[in-house]
Amino acid sequence: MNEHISTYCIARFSVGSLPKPELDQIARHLGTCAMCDDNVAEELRRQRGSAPLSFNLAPEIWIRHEHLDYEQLVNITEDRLDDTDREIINIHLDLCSTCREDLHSFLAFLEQERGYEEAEVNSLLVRGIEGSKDLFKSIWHGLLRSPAYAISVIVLLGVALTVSTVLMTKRTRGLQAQGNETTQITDASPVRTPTKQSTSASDTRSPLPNDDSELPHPKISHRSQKSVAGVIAILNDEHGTVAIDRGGRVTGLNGVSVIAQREIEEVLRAEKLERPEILQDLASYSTPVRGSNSDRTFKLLSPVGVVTSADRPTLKWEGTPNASSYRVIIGDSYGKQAAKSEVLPSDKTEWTTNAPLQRGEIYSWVVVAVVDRKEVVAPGPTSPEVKFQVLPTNQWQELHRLRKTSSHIALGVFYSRVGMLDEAEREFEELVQLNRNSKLASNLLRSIRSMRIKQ
Amino acid sequence: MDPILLPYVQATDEIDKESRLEQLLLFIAAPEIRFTMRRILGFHVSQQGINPQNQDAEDLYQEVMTKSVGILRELDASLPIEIENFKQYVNRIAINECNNFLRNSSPARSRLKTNLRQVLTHQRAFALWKFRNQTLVGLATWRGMQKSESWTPADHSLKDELERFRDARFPGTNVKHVSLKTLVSEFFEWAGGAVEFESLVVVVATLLDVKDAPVESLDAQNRAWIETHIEPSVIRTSSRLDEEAMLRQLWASVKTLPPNQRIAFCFRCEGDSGQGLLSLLRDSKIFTLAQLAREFGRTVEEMSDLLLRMPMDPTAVAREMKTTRQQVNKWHFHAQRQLRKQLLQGNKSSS
Repeated sequence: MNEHISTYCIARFSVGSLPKPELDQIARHLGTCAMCDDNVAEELRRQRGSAPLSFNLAPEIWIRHEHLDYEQLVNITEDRLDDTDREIINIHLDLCSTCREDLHSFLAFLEQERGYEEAEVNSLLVRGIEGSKDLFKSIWHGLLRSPAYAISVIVLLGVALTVSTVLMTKRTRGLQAQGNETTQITDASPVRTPTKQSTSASDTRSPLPNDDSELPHPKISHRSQKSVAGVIAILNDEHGTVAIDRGGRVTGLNGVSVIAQREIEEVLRAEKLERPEILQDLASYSTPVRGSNSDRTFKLLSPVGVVTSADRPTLKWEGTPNASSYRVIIGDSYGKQAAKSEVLPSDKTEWTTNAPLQRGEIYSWVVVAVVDRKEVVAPGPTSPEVKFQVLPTNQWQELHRLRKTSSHIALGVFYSRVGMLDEAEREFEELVQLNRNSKLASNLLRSIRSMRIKQ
Repeated sequence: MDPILLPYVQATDEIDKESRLEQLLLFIAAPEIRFTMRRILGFHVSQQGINPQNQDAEDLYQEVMTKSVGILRELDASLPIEIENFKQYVNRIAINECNNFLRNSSPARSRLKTNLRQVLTHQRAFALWKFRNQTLVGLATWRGMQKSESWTPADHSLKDELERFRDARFPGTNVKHVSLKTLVSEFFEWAGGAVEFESLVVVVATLLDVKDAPVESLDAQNRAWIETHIEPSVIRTSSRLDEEAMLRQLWASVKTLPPNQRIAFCFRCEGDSGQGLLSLLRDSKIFTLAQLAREFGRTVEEMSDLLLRMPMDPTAVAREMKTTRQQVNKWHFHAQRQLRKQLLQGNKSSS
């Protein structure tokens, strides 16, 4: 090609929008023609536009997309990683919850299959012993009939017993050494599956029964700042297990957003829950005297000083003797009446609002009972106001998503953050039920109960 | 409406209109889609939308392209679609499609696949082999055989067939509490011959009732979190005049890297707006095509072809360098570390 390249061809060449032979022909021409090469450079510059130039040299930018493949998972479990591999994988695991989950799921699977294999070997041994009983019986009867053979057999058995005792002793020592190793992540094996505990919820297979809910702290490889799979605690959750590693990362929370996961990580690391600010706003303080009949009032039961997820909440109160009827009045934060019940019969001590209340709004409520033709208001005039908040829309949507996970940990942390204390307590009670020996689960339950006491 | 769209919208001649449409797609939409796919999913395609190693990336690129063409054609029909900024509009389409892709991915099934691969390759009783572009699995004694004809249920009868299998092989047992090895072994005996690996995944996923929770997309909030939590490692220019100096400085540092690190870095590196480093060196006239070809020991044709595929993903770089993806990542990692040390610490000490 001796002729210079047209503007049309230069533009198309720069984006590769020409047949391959033409692209090659132009490339050859550019190799010898400074003017056309310059024109291509100008075209590239024009396409780039005027945005300022910058480069981000942080490894996180590209490593976040370097997801673990099968070979890498195997290399991790078989300790075939060098320092750089480990560093790259650790950075990626910090950023990618899916790969964290993949790794813990794979480790849990290996552990589970090992458990099945051990159980299979044991059952074969038991069957073998049962079978050998009959065999032994018939041999013994035969030997009794010919004593010379009996003596030879006894000598042979003695030799065999001595040899097997020596071998067994050696093997036992070996196994003990292995057993010591497997509870730690050693220099030689930075990622070793613990032998007794399942490391994580595998979403495809249910974990094996597990007595110990918390693992010992693994020893970290001197070659790496962080352990890839250094699980320090495991909690049984509704659909599997949730594992927490030394870096505070949590796995086993499928379907939980990255943001929520980080929040859970913080809670599990701290082993306590922070009191949400909304509870301060809903706290009961004495306000100016309302109504009359202060001496004969009754109690409002729920919602009291909490957040409710329903926008048509059910309000409950304690019945008062001799009441002929009740009426519920709900006021908004501006003191305006937001809802009012019809006159309710005396046997009714709860009422669900007819229309939805506004999400995110704080409401206070009273119940007016008619007793002996006089109105008795609860809370009484000297008692503090009773308030509640209807869960704001964005949090309600978040809750809707979280409920699909059925995770007691995820839901408990969410409820406590938004001020739904009853629900949070219920979730942590379930968690304690599933983890009877876990200090972490008990601490979380204690933490939520202490919020109530402060209230 | 974005002024960039006006020549297309106002064109009356059919040929002219098609040509304008092609220009919008080639010069505006395509680079934006490629950049967005790299940023959100780490998916790379060449300027022609090709990545032989990643079918998903090619499909996704085509999907966004088709949607973009659809939008432009609707503009043609004078429907009330107001596009203030076409580039941003394409970016939005690409983000939505990337998020859809994430939502449709199935990590639970992929984990099951990993576990099955582990069982099939680590248990002597089983084997996994290639037969005419198919990955087949079965008992070790079947290795090398072709796919079994005796067990090929249609999709609609799969559940019934597996129900029969469960009743025959695991009566009264919850298969979820059976080891994967046993389950697979029993299934192979039931099937009576080799099956495709992907079919086995479907079978076991059905038997174990593997379901996926939807994957959360990496939304703006999460991305912002990542960006604020990484150490500041940005080199930037304040004006266009500084660009050449900065690129020359960067190149001088790149030249000090060992050859493999240099190639791994240059073939992957891109500016924050999405242009490959070598392309930037070229448009700044620091290098001609011939000089770049010489630097990397290629012919001009090869270099030109490489430039159209940059920035590359590690798999593509690995193919170019005839090594593994992991090795490329290591070289790239070391190269970046070295460059950070040279360029960022140098900047700090000079300021």
